[in-house]
Amino acid sequence: MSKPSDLVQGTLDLLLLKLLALEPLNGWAISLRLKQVSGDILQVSDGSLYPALHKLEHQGWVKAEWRTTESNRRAKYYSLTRLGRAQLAKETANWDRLSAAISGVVRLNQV
Amino acid sequence: MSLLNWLYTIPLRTRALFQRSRVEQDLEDEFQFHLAQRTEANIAHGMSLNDARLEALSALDRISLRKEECRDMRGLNFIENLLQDLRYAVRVLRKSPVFTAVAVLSLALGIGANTAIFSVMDVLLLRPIPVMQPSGLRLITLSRKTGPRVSFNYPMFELVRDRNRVFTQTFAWTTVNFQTPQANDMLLIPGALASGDYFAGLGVPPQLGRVYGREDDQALGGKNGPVGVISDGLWTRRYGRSPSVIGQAIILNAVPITIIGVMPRGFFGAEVGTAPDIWVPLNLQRQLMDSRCIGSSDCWYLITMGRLNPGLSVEQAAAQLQSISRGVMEDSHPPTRADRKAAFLAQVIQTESGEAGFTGLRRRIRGPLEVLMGLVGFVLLIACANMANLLTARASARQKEVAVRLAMGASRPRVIRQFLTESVLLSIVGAAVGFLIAIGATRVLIALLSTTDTPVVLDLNPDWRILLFTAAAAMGTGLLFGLAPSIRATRAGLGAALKERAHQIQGSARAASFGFTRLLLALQVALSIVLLAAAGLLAGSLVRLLTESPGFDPHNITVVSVDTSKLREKGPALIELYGRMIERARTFPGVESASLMSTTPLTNSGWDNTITIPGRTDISEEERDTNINAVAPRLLETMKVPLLAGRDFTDADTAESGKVAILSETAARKWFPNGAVGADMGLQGSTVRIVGIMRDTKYLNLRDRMQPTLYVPFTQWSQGGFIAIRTAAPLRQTYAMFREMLREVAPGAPIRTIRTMEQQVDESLSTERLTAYLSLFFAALALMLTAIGLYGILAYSVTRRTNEIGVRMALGAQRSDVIWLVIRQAMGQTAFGAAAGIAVVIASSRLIASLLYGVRPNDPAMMIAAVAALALVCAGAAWIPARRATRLDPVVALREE
Repeated sequence: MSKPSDLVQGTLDLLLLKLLALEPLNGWAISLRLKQVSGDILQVSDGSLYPALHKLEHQGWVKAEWRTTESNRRAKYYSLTRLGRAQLAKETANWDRLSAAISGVVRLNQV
Repeated sequence: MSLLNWLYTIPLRTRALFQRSRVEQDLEDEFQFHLAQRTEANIAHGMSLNDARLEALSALDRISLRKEECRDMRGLNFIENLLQDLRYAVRVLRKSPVFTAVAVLSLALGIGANTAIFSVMDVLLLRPIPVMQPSGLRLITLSRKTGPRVSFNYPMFELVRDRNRVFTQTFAWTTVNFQTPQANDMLLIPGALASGDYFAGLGVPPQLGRVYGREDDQALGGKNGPVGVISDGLWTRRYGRSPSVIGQAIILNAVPITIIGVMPRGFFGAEVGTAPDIWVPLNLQRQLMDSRCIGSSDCWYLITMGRLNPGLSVEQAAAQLQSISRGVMEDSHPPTRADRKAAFLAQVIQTESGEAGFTGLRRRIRGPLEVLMGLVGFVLLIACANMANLLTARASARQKEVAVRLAMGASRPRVIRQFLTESVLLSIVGAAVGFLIAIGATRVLIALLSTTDTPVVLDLNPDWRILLFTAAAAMGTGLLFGLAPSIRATRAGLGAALKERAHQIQGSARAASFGFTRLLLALQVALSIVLLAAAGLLAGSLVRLLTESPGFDPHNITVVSVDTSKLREKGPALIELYGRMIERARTFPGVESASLMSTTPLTNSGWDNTITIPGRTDISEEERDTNINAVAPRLLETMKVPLLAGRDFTDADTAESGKVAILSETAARKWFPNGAVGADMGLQGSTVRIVGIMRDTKYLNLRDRMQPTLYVPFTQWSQGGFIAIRTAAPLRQTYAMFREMLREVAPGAPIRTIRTMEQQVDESLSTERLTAYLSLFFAALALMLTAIGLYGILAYSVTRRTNEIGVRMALGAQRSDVIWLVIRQAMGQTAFGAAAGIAVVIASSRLIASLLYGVRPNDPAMMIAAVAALALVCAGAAWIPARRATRLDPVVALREE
């Protein structure tokens, strides 16, 4: 699987879990939301989004169902499972530790 | 991933596996939805419809690849791909039925032949016998200079049994035929005389009743009298599986035996190849067989086994047995003559594994079987090389398909896997067909091994070893010979496919890419030469043996053996009875003459002894050893052995008259260079007057050189023997007449065996025939496979060179030039392989030297014949593609591009 080069390994999973924790979304909506919330800083190509979503689905962290959109199209909506919430908590904690550690190092360099 | 996650996603996985088209449609829909949304968004931003769509597509960055990534996420892709590959493989193979048929058939023949030979080897040499913990059984043998002796006499068996401290049970047996009355007739049933600990040692409980033990193994039986245990087969045939069989009596050799147990189905004891119907205690032998072998040290007839004490290692057992050996030898009547005594006393009691049981066949066919296994292995290699060649040719033809698949985003391992699926599928189908072939072929093999004297009854049910063997052969060939072509096919990759056109004109580049195929072809040719040479040598030996004159005329002779053991007549009365039988046989219609001999020739059994020559001390004892046959008058006439000097025996040569003998030419020349007739010699303490000299005859078998042979009157040395009848009447008629005559002359004496001398000669060569026929068959198979391989390569190469041939013809090449072009390619490829094959033959032909007769292992004529046969077949295989090349119309050929 090709990975977006500007995303820290594994963070795409975290972002997707976080977005889906707020509300069920389809793939297209997720791509829009990603752009919105990160203000174009996190570039996730449309192509790499779907394999990531399918991976989460097959790990049992998200589940999918087909619904009709406002524009009356059939779309696959992803939502978080119970296991997914646990995973999100775990990855958030991981992320906090990691980012704290990295910021620490970065600040150290600035001194 | 944790188990919980796995459980959680089971419905998802099941769906992915079994509702594949639904899941695929969902995947497609999902991407289409995304495309539609993005296109809409783009249009809203002011793009044209076309641009909007293109932008959306490029944002997804190769949809098919993304889809494949999504599929990979299912984690089931392996199984799914396999199913997909299988479906595809079946489709591809069905589309080219000729290729598939050739590949499957050559593999089936290769695997089938291998499995058949392996089955026989398995059953005779490898398979553990169906008894309790067979690995604990040891076959007890005596060490001798000429190799271990497997047979024991009774006193020695008792000594070993009572003095060893390494076996929990020591037991011995011999297989015999018993007479039993059935519907006013005498029937012979196969049985075994087995010592008291036999059943305890083998540890197989009866399915009904009980087995006998030491207490029953006495001369007149134990407290229950003579008892016996019968086989499941006899129980079914004779007693209809009735439980009331226990306690019933069965008459064996006129002695009533109480049946006390029925062994389970499949039990045959410890002697592979036999199928006794009844087991009786060994000590009943005197009563049953009227034999003095119990207590005599002259009968070497018992096969002895022991069950090793579980606490002991084989080495410990060997040490203890060695330590008792000397005492056992000293106490079992060693021969009196000094040199023989020393050799006798030096014998050491040894053991070998009894796990696979004992079989007399083992010694006879181990050598041939090993050679055949080697040859048949070559056939499989050739078949595999063929398959690799076919696959390579196909892979090259499918280069474009491969290129397209690679361009579409398929990974190289994925394409290789697809190719491997095809080759493994081919080999599995080949193996399945081969397995069916093997089941039939094994039966034929066993039938070829059976003779009248030693019928071979084997458990032919394929066991796990054979299944494993076939499966391994199939997977091995599929993977091994599918891998190389597929790697080659995918290595070429995109560029090569585009350059394919260029390749067709660049001869050198093509040659390089075909190196692998050529190497395989050379291998096939080399192996074929080896097989042809081996087959030629073995068949040559058989022909030499078949045309070898035994010294007598084997045509139109019937040999009858009568079981007289239960008759009241003994000694002179029996001699007289045999005289009457011969007399009556002479009166049968169509009978030219009839006589008797104590040893029937070419059965590898007989009587030999050392004679003494008065006044000659210069001839060593070994040189005075002679084959002896006790015969009736007119045997020479019956066998058509020319009498060279003196006279034949007459009815006047009786037990009371002076002892006489007829010498063979060789013996007379060796011992009495100054004239034998009228001379005296010593035989077993008697003085014998030589009255005649006859032409040499073969005695034990056809392979032996002519050895000194001595005929003596049966009236002076024996009480009976085989009745030889010279008649043109068919066997069936002679049998009927003889039986009728026996009812009158000797009621109660059944015919033991009856067959023609020709059958006997044939049977004496059964192993040689088996080896020769099979090696010829394998060689033919090898030739056929090689021809197919060569044809395939040439046909393919002609197709690829259509363009080149067109150019050549347009430039003025003659048809003969074109034919030469193709034939030259064929010959070049054959010659290298043939040279390699001859080198292998020269280096290895000594391996089969022991199986040969009358031909030298490195017979140049045989090699030339092998190469000639191969060249002929290869030329034939090359002819068809060569002809096709000449039929090319240059214009059409050039336009084909």
